[in-house]
Amino acid sequence: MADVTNLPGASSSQKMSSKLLRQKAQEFLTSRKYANNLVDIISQWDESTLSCLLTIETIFVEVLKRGDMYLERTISLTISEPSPEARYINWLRNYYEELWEKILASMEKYRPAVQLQALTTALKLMAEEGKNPLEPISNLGYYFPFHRLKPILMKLLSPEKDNASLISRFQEIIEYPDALYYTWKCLPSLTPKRQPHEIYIKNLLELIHKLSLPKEIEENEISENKNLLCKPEQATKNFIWDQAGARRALNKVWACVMHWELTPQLHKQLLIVLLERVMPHLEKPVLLTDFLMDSLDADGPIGLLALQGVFLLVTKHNLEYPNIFTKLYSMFEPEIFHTKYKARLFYLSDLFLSSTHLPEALVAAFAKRLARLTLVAPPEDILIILLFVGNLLLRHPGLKRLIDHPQEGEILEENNGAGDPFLMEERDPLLSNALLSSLWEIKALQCHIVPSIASAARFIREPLPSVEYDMASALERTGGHLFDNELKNKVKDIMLTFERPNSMALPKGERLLQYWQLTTMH
Amino acid sequence: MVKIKKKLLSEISQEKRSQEKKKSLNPFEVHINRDKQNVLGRKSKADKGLPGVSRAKAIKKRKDTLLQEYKLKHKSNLFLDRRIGEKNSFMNEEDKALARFTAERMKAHKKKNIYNLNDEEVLTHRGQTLEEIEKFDDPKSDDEYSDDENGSGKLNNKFVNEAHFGGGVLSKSESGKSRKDLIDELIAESKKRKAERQKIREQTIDLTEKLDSEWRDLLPIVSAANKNVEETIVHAKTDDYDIAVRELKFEAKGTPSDKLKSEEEIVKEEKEKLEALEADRVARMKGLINTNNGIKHKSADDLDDGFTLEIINDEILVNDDKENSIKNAQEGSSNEDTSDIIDKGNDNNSGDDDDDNDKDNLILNNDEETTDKQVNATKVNGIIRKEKSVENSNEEISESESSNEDNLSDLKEIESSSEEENELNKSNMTINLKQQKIKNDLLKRKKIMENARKELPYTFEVPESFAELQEILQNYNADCQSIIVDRIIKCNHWSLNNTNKEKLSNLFLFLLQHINDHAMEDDIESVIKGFQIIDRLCPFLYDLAHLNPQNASSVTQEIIKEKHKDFEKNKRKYPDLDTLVFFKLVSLLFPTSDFRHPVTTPSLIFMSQILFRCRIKNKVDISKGLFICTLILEYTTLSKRFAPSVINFLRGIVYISTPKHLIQGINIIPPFKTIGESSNLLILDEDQTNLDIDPSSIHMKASDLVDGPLDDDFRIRALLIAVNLLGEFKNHLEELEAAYSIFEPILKLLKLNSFNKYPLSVTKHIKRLRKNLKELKNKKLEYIVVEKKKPKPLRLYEPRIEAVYDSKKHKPMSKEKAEREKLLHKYKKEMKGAMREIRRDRAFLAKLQIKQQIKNDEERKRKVKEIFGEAAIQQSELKKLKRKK
Repeated sequence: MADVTNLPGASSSQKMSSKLLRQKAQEFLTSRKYANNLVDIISQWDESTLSCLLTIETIFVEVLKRGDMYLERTISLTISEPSPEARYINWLRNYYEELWEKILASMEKYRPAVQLQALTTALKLMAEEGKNPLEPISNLGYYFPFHRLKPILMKLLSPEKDNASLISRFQEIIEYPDALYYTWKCLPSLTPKRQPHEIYIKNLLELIHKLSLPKEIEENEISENKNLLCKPEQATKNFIWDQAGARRALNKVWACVMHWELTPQLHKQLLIVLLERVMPHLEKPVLLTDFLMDSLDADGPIGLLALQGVFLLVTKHNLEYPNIFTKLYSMFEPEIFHTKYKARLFYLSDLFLSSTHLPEALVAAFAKRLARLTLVAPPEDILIILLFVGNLLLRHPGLKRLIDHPQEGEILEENNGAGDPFLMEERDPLLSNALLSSLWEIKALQCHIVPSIASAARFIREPLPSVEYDMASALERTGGHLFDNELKNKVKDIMLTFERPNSMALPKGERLLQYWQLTTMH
Repeated sequence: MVKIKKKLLSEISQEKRSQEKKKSLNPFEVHINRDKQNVLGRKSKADKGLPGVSRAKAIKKRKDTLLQEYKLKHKSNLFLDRRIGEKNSFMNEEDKALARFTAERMKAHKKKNIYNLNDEEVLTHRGQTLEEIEKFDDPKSDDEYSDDENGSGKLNNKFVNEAHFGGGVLSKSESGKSRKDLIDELIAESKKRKAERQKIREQTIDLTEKLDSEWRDLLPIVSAANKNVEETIVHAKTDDYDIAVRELKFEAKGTPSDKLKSEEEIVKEEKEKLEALEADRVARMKGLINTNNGIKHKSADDLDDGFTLEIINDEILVNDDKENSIKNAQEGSSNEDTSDIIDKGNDNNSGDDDDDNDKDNLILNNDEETTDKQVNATKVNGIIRKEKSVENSNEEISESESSNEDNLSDLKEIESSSEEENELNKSNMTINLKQQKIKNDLLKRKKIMENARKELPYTFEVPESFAELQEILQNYNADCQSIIVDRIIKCNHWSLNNTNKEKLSNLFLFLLQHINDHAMEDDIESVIKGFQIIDRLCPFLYDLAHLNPQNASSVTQEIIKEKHKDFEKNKRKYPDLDTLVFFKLVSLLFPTSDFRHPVTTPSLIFMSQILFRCRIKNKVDISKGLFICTLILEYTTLSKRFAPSVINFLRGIVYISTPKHLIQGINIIPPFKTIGESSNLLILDEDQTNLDIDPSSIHMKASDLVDGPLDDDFRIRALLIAVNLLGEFKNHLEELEAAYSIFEPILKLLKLNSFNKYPLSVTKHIKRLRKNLKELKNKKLEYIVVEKKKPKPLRLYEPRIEAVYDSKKHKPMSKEKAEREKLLHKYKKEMKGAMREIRRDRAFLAKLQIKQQIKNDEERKRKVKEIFGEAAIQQSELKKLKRKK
């Protein structure tokens, strides 16, 4: 498919043609005698799709508005010669259908820009058609061009290519409640029971991620929302939001989705969609337990997301899962600092451990493990952990022994000889001996190279505050923040070294040249 | 008894008199203000007053001033009596005259013309002006007349006796001269004497004049006799040089300043200054840590009033002790082998030509012979010293000086070495070697520099733009560049011109840019050249930074910011060399040990970000990582701070040099990867057991920063450097309780690997580190305990006693506010006083006017009455006349 517009020489001719096309469209709209212009325009399709799409859009939006294609379905008993009017309408409608196919086809082929334009054109035509139906509406109820939406969705959920950008464009019409509702209505019929293609799953999840089903409370608001995509002018009956129907559709879709096999990438995406969009609307969320339990065993973000799901089940649906803290405990590995989900993990674990009725040994193990992690963590994460540990100490007064041991002095050598009695390798937080230890790691952080950490780590020396530390703002910070903050610090007098170097070597404490031979070859 | 009574009486009378004086006040004039409350010890200023007296005083004053003004109101002329003492009633006529005369004299003394120095009153002595006397033209002393009695021109004693008092009955009147004769005789006599005296006087004058002239003739001959020889030589010698010297000698010299400091003083001052700076640095390093941490000793009586005993800083004392002890030690050693010293002394002295020294020698030798070497060694030494000090003090002084210097240098050496000993126990040797090497290097460089110096032009303008600087520096090597920069700075020293400071500040920026542009990693030569440029330019950058610290820091900050921005664009890639070299520069220009510093802290954060984020893919990445690790080590050597990023990186280095089959199940933290090619980068290809390597003197090389194939040599070196760095960091952090936890993962890795393929020395070296790390585990840990808060002392309700009680409550306020408050108060007081005065003035004037008015009215009435009276008389007279008619 040689795209003419891409060729360098074609740009001028394309301009010409787009101008010509616009002119032809104008002529077509002014008088019927230029009706054949439409044929000309369509013949240009392959050469300049983009401008054709735009022209077609203007033509048919206008035509639909005028109701030029409106056909009274009169049941005539006599088979009479169709009038020229009717013949023209029929001719026009045939071309209209043909064009729809072309538009839909161009959503798959051609350049991304053309694809996007095709989608936009399709959506506009659909909206216009909804406002001005081609045929009389049977029950005078709300009319939605369902037959147009379905092929669009089918194209979006293509099993061949990733349609993320198209889906995000499609998202624009999701804001209209009618469009949202009918999309949901449409989806179950498009979801296969069998294992579909990966890309299809990805597209579907992407789409569902964009489709936000309102919560029960917002239901009324939605039905009162007069801002509809297809608001027929003559329709007396308004669109009614059917929450139950939408939920049913969602459950149907999800029932299919749950049976599919997933790659880790999709698994993660699925969990995100599940947690953010689907979970609140599921009829029997407890059914997810098995799925989540399986996901829990996976490492990294999947496990974490599953954990969040389990947490929701535990808190909202009375699921009992005693090992959840062990699971959470095992998630704190040095690797987390290099994942995108660490903020979520910290947020979640703050939530998990917010109860003041947890056993002290458990919380102490968390505190100690987190402290241990600071020894390898990047600076910005250390700040989060410090706040977190501070909050844990605040919630559980018994943990004070970690920073202020009742019996001063040296550690008794009862367990595993000298050294820290805390067992980092122990998987069970309750067996990790954390309560026998002290937060020496935080003391070590007091001489961290970053001054803000060093001063933050001093909190263990002072009495704890009465209000918990605010972790939310710290979660968003990155290493760049720290760097910028340090640069922002304005100091009046700048200190300089006071020993004049004679060469690159420092007069005192030179290390670089001790290990590096830089100025000579050998 | 009588005496006592007398005394008593006199005293009583005295008291009485004084009381009388006091009592001269009319008791009715005194007004007493009674206090409502009598406060003991308070002195009231206004307890009594003399209203009448003070009013009279005020009225009198008004009469003198206000009244006079009032009288002269609306009058343009006024008559002033300026005669001296005219208005003063206490002066009598004589005083006035005297005062006027004095004033006249004073006026005469005042110089009319300040430029005419001679316009002074002429002083006289015996009628002659002093000037005349000072000429000594005619120095006729009184003595000339004293020997003969008649010198004064008066009549002879005898003659007077006879002529004036010789009458009477008893006297012999044989002469029988008449009175007239007698008088004639008397006159003749006196005339004759006068003439004689005149004659003698003239003679002496002639004689002295003659003598004077003769003496003058003789004078040149006498002086010539003295000077004859010298003068000829001097005349011969005066040449240009001498003239120049004289000129220099008499040229205006600098203003007097403090006395020149001796070398010792200078050294001492320098040392003190450095110590102060060091103390300052340590304070900054601790940041806020120790402000409230230091556990101070508290006595049981501490009232918690914030009063603390000053800690006496006896550092200097300690130093002195040290010095002393060193001296003693030296002396001790010298005592032990005095003979040695004596021999030395002999050697020294024999070289000298002085006779004294030879004598000395003899004595010394004698002593040596006679005294028992071992027993009396010290004595000998003492004697020798004494004798020396007496006989050739010069030598002694010079010797002592040199010995002092020695001591100082010794001290320094000891200090530095002790520090180093603390810091690196093992690598001492290498450092020494290194120093030696550096010294050699420096010497060599000096030679090159000398050569270069000769070739280059001597003056340079400060480049206005970077392009200009490039032009200047383009074709020279690093040494020449440094000289050029040196000359630029010297030619445009900031003390010469005000604008130079700004120009040189710009130069700082340009130099950094220059360094930036030369820090390329294309090939080994360019890398080395880049580093050489830095190496040579460092001192000048240091100078320029000190010239304008504000500028230096902002410029460096900007550069680091820019580099960081570039880094943020691609966070997984190690930044180029031009970023890394700036970290080194920062450590040279700014103190790295500060708790928080506007330049070094961002650099540190930047470096740790690099270590945390960047992927290790090839040889260059490893070298750059190690480079940064070394730099962080350098940054933290003094402050001993903890950088997780470095430990993490070094752990990664150890990991990637360990065969994976040994360490299955052990995970590594990103940026290192457990699997893939990059996790095996440093595993040796071949058996290198036979390679001979000294692990403590191993170096990374500039060539490692250039991309190339990985070879076993590099692998061994990288691992060794990592191990060495780990050793240093371990030394830094071993005081922390969490030290074992920090190094545990590394220890685990080292334990599992047996390093079979590595040379034996390397394996040993690594084992040593392993052992050291293992020892950390055995450290006794102490529980963290929050510092006990000092118990709040009981409140003591004692009266608060103020040292100076002035009955006023002083609000605590700022100095400026207090000052303002004070001024306002004063203003109010003054305003009140002024208003009162004005009011009284008005009353005074009103009274005066009304008096005047009354007086005028009375006058008028009187006049009217008079006129009426006169008119009545006239009328009556008229009536009388009419009646008469």
